[in-house]
Amino acid sequence: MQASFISNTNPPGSFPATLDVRTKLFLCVLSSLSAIILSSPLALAPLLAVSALYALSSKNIKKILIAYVVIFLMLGVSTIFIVLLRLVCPELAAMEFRNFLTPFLRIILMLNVVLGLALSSRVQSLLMALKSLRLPSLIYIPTSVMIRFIPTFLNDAKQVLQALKIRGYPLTPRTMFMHPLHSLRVLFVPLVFRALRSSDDLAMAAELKGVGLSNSIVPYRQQTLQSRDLAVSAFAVLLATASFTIQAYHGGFSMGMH
Amino acid sequence: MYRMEPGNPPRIIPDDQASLPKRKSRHWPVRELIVIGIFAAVVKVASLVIALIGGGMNPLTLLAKNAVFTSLLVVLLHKVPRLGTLTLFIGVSAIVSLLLMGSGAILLPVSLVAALLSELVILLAGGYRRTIGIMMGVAVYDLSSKGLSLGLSWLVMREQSALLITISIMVAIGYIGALIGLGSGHLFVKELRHAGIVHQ
Amino acid sequence: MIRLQDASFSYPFHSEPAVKGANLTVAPGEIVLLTGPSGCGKSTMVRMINGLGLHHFRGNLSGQVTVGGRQVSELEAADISTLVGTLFQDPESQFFALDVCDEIAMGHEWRQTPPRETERRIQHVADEFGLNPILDRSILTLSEGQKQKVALASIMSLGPRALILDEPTANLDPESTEALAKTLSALKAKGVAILIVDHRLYWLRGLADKVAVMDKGQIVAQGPFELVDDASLRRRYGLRKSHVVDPRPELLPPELTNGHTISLCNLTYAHGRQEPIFSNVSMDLPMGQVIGLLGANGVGKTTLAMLLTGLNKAEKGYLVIDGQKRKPSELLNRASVILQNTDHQLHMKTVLDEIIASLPREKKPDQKRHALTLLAKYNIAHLAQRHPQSLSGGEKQRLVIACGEAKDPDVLILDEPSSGLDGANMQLIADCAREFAQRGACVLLISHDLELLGTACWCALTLPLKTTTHKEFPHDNKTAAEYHPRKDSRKSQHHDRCPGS
Repeated sequence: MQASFISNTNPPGSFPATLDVRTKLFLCVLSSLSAIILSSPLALAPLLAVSALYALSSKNIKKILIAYVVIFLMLGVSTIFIVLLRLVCPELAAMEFRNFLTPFLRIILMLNVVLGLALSSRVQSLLMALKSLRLPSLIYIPTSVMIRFIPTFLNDAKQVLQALKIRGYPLTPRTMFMHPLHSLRVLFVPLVFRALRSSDDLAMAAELKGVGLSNSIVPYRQQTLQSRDLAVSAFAVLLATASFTIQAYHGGFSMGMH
Repeated sequence: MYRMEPGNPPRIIPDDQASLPKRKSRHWPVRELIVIGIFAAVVKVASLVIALIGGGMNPLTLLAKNAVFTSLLVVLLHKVPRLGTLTLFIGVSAIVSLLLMGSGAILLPVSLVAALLSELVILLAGGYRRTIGIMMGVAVYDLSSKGLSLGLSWLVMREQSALLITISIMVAIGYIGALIGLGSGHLFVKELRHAGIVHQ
Repeated sequence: MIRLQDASFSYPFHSEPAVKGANLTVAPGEIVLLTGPSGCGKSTMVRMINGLGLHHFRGNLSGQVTVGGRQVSELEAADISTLVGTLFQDPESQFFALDVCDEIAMGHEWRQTPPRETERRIQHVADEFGLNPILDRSILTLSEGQKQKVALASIMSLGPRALILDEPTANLDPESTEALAKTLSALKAKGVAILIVDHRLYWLRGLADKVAVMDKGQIVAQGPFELVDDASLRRRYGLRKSHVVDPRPELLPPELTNGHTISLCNLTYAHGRQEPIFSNVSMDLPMGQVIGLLGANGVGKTTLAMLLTGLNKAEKGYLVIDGQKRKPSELLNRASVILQNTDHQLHMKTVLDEIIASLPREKKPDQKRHALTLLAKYNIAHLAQRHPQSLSGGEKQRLVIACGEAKDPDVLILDEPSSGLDGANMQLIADCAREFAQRGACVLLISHDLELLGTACWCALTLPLKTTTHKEFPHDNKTAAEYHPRKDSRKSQHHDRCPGS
């Protein structure tokens, strides 16, 4: 998932890529809240189906599969722990299918909407999205600097790893296990010094450019929400409302406290 | 003095007609905001690099990721010793994670609560000018943010809370890493002083 | 116009002033060159003028520094930048945005300029600097020359009537340097006062009206450009040459002797899914020579060094050393590669530790003596206990080369080792490269620095190389030489020399 921001292009025909980042964020927040509140599998099902379609429409099947495998593995390991726990202390963990199903559906729902955003976000377009949010300079300056420097530092990290190979101490899982402190040192000392130097250079340029002269910027161009964004948001709200209605009729709002 | 003015083509205003307004002094100098942004980027890249080298979810990667996060946070708080640095850093990282990866839509307020709690601890322990204050603040931040996020996980898995066992073990390993990071961060600050980059 | 009258500056916590009693004037429509050895106070002069010395470094300024008739001490740095723009050595480090248009707009957006006016100014500088084809490009995909143009356009869009350029040619190839000279000539003709701080002198012949030479914080000589034609003055202050003849046409492909050779055969490589930068090419690198690796930016010079040592994996191709097929990683064990960015290559707590960590096992028993000898050779013995990251750019450059030498390599690859170096340090690096070659090593020098190429190189390979077709190398115990004895003619093409051709 995180690797998505290395890529600078979206697969052709990716639906989430055509949406404004604010719309995608809204979908994430709405899904997370719905997932936490809803506890009936029947209520979660429509949200889950639509979110799966949304994730798949990013046309990045390989990365979606990897994310699913990781989640299944984690849940699998947890289940093994529960089985072991039951052997020692049976009253601590119940093995009812329903108790496993609801958390699983929630996790998958949240994963789907996150994948929709992560697999369609490009670092370059994020700065413009950030401008659209009209944040105060106190938050806008460090946030835009962070976005600006993620690609630079990724490239730096690559060069540091190359330099380590040249110097004869390549970083591999094995060397990290055998010499963890040394490995972290040789990797991060150059990166941190580079970061400190970059911040000095950029601070000088910022003073000269007049960055921070006012409390907010006047963007010369900005993203506007399209009718597609409004339609998707409205559909998401309708769907969530429908799910809450199903929950009210079938599952109640006990917050699942057993 | 010359300035460009609206109009086509750009026009130059001579010295005597130009006036430069007096600026207000700011609580947060721009250079410090930039350091916070740069460190947030380094932390994000560091986690990614460790995950790539260490191979994703394994105890060693978890230890290393947390250790590096805490170390870099300790260095940042020494570099920008100002009330609110920790909260701003956490807020900025969370906003970018949200924009970039959609992750933590619900975690953002939780992290901010943990950061504010830590600011209080730093104040009580002598403020940002004292190393002990910074170390305690970072330790409390890590503990409280991990505790609160476990609470959120419980909300997601409340029907089968035993599923939290794996996450709890991972959080515990992560916290051990964070404590190791406190020590390595302190050593790193000493090294930066030797290099003349962080001053007493 | 820029004027300094008896101006001095000292940094906080430093007892000695970095600049003492400087007097300098740059009139409208004039170009003044400020030069001098590393650490002489040139950058401090820049900071005195653009206000960073006072506002960013919080130093102490005495005397008079005026820009456009106004005292810089009475203005804020952001306001000074509308009077005098500053272009730094590494333009990318001063970029705030990720695409060209946004970068130019940045200064205006913070000054609350109305969007239509910002757009008009972007269009104006885009036309002036020829940026229209790249306005929507990511800054990360631009060449060094393009980055510099974007930075210059962004500065000039604020409307300053004076300009300072700090080491503007350090990362530029000769063609981009020529283009920069033309741009500056146009700005000069429009009446902009320009101060250029640079080690490289030759490109300013016919462009600079005046030269000021600094040493130990003081301006020690001032006069017309011809002042730096004085060889004794250049020697005294470690300056670079004032006249450089482009050595590239004279540098022929490496001559094969009967000695040892490294051959890279049938190489094919592409970055990701892009067009291949090497498509079935071959080359021979004889030992005992300093070989320049020439070519425009982005042609694949650094990539070639990475492929040679296995740091990048080739899609196709193989490496032959002394007639034996080898893995590139085997060459890496026998090679020192000095990358362009020195910061990435320094990991230890002291300069001495950095050298000791690079020594081979057989030198470990007497490691301190070996390390100190090397430090003395590169004039950095007095810095042995300093933190490597606290050194200046030139000192770091010498340290990483010393680390490279500590390994006692058979192959030394230097990637742009002289950017930002003064004449004396450039000469030191050229001498060391030649000494390596004389000891039998193969030295591969990737550089745009015409002066370094002319001083150090004996021959050169120019990229892109021509595509060749070869048969596969045989997979039995016979050596390549046995199958395909080499031709030793200097005039022969590269593909003729490669095993399998």
